[in-house]
Amino acid sequence: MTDEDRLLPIANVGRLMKQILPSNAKISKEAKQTVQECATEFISFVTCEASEKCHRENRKTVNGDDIWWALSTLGLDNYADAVGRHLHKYREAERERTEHNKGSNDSGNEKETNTRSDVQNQSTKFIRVVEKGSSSSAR
Amino acid sequence: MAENNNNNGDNMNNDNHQQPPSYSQLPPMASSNPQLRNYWIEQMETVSDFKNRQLPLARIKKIMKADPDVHMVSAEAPIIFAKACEMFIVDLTMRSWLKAEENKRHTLQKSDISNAVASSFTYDFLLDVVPKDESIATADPGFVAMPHPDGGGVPQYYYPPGVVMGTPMVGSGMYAPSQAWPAAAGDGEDDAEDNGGNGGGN
Repeated sequence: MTDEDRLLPIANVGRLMKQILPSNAKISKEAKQTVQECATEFISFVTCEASEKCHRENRKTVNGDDIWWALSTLGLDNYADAVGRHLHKYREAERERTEHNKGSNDSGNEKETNTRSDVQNQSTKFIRVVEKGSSSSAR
Repeated sequence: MAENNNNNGDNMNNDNHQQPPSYSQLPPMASSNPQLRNYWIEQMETVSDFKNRQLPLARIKKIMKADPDVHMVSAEAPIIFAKACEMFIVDLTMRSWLKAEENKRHTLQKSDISNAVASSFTYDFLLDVVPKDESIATADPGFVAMPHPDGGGVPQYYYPPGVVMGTPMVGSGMYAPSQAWPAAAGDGEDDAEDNGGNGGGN
């Protein structure tokens, strides 16, 4: 991978930075590059922690739960709280979309089978997210 | 044919009931800045449309898979990371801006980000990415040296070895020699400790 591929796009990073600062604020190019590198390191750091959890549990796919757990473990509690809610909302929307597709598409048994399996998996994860949320609140 | 639709009670659940906002749980990243605090309260209260993304998912996935231990990544993981990363950029930028304002500047500099990272222990994992600028470190009042550990030695510090304090004790001449010796020894010890402390601070 080239250096540019290794990092988040600096234009997106700069735009996010600009949105939160006052209108009279200016951002040096070095500052944008530094935040760009920090954000990339943030992803790698959390991913590494999530990946280790997957290995311990003999799983090969890093999912949203693992990232939520990693954020909590690494002391990034604000992120874990907000991300937990975001993950829950996403799965809810995915479940609704899946049910909608199932209703409008009665042909193709194989596809339906995959859809049902997906729904079951999401339900399981949904329950787990709720439990983790409770645990987080207890702390 | 009549089919039973599985209408789970899950749909009845309200987000706010399941995950009440934890206003009191902002200890590790709490900030006295009201704008930053309000940002985090807002993030925990509302869930923005996950389709409205500011960061490209493909790039996030590529960064995740750069780790050789990562085999497969579920579709939801980059979406969750896009949200987390967006909050990270906003949080770090605001903390850095506070540093720029402390120095009466309107341009965000790299040193502001270094100082913001150094000030938040939850961002310690970034210390290698953003090494501390030596000149900034010495200039920043936040890096004042630790106070002298030997509290008892402080009074001695105000009387340098060269100063003679014999005048008030002329009337008690017979005690002068015994008092003078311990004072001198104490001064010596204080000097040594001060030097050590300064070295550690720098």
